[in-house]
Amino acid sequence: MSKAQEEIVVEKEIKYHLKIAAIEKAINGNCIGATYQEKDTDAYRWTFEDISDERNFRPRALDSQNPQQEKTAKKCTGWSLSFFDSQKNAIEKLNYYCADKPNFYKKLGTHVAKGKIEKTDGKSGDINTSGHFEHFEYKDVDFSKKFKVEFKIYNE
Amino acid sequence: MNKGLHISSFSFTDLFCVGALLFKEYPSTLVYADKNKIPHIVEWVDLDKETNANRYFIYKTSYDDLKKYIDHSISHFELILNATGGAVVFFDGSIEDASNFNILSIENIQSDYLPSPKSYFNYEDSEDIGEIIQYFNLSNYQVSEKIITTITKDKIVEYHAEKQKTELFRLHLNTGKYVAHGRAQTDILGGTLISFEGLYHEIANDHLKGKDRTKKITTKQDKIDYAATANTEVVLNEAASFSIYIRPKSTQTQINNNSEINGSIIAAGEQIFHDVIDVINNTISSDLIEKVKNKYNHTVFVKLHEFAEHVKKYDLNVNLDYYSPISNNRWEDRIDIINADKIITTLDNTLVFEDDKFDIIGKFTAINCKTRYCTFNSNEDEEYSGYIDDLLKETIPTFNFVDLYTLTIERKLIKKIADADYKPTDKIMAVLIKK
Repeated sequence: MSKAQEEIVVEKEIKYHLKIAAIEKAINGNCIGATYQEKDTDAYRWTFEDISDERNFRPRALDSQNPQQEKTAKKCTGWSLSFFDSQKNAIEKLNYYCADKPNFYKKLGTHVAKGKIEKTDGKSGDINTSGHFEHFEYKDVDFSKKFKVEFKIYNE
Repeated sequence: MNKGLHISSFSFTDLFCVGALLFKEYPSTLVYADKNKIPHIVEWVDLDKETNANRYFIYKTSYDDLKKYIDHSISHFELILNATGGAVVFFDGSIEDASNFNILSIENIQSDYLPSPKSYFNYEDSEDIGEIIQYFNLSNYQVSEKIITTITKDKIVEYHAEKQKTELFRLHLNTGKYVAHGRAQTDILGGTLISFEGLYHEIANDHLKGKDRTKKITTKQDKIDYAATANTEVVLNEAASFSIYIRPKSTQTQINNNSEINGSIIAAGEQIFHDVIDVINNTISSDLIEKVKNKYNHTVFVKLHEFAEHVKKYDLNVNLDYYSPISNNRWEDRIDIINADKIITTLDNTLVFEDDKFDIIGKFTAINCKTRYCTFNSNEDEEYSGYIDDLLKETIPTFNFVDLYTLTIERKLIKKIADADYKPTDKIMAVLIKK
């Protein structure tokens, strides 16, 4: 990158950055550390049938029914979104949860939606062995417009 | 409609939330502690689509079971199965703002509210596991190795009751003609259970409907509660001669104080078994039955008679034992051919009376002036027969079969205490000619 190009790079603002900054201050560390990077990748997420359902891309900390909402809001992961690297991994993980809580799909989602996460959408963490990764969105990103419901796992 | 027994108050309002055991995606298994640091688990189980209300249940657990679950020694299913008191309390909303409370025994929890038996704890699923271990000091906690290996004969009911965390009543059929070496003839065993259940059920009716059976069970919830308490279920059998373990369909629990439970339904099971022993003990002689004959509805004695007849007929020797791990109360008794016969004799010799007095209008159809015995047909075409009171004997010759008379009848209803029906004895106390 040339010097001229460097000058026009503007650090994009993370959605809920004030909340995240407060957490980082409290934990004296980073929520979005070095492992989080802007990426272009296909991503899969549990959603409900209607992609515009307000529960679909809501961070855990904003779920008013979360019995630990206050505590969740004080954690970095309270403000990120969960994604998977494949439809198979997304289905397997939801089935894993539902083996413990058979009605859990009513909270987490009944379908899998697929979309493309681009570098301009935010910063994604490392993919773990289950194909799961966390993603911190940039301000003004609306994944409901970028994702499409692809597969039904459970009937709501 | 939620299953279980409705309770009027929710006694888990002073708990402290330690953290979420499961899951990172959504806290759905939460660990709470009371002021004595006893762990309580709150399980999210459902979301009502129409009301958008979250449904949970809460149960008390032990350090042992919590530690075992975290160490993968027991599954999530077993953690719930081992809940203290063998029951959970369902509620809607949140623990801070709970509504619609119901208590339910573990075995009655619907399957979609329970984890798969293969679901074990995974450290990666919990964000708060460190806090939970630290709060309860589980790192240093030694899981109890206490295994009851010696089951003494006289503590067998305690052993099973403690193990199953529930009150139990044992009917132990000792060796006899129909019972031996771990076998029992089906019809004899069935008859014993049916006749005992009849006795239990009638005593339960005394508790739930009142001795005079005037308390109505009207609401759907009351009917569910009634059915759960007035009936027993077999939970275990043992081939030691032959033992059957039963308990009320609603089991005792220590999650709430009994006084906090609507209608004290839960406490009723223990009291009913207590009264079963009480009524058997107190009907073996004419003196003793005076203590209980007015305490219970007559149908209790009808069913006791049937139970004693069954024992006598098949020469059974039955030990009756009760133990509650909640109250630590224990009762025991024994019924064999000798005391079954005493019970039958006592019941047959114990008469109960009821008096009635009423007027009827009609005509005489037969009169015996010597014996004072007469028959009388009322205007409603009902026939009465009985003796005319001695004070009226001088006027008997003046009665005829044509005139209408008004008779004042004193009716004495008499029966053996264990008879199903009364036999009326009528006495004509006054006669007036109706012009």
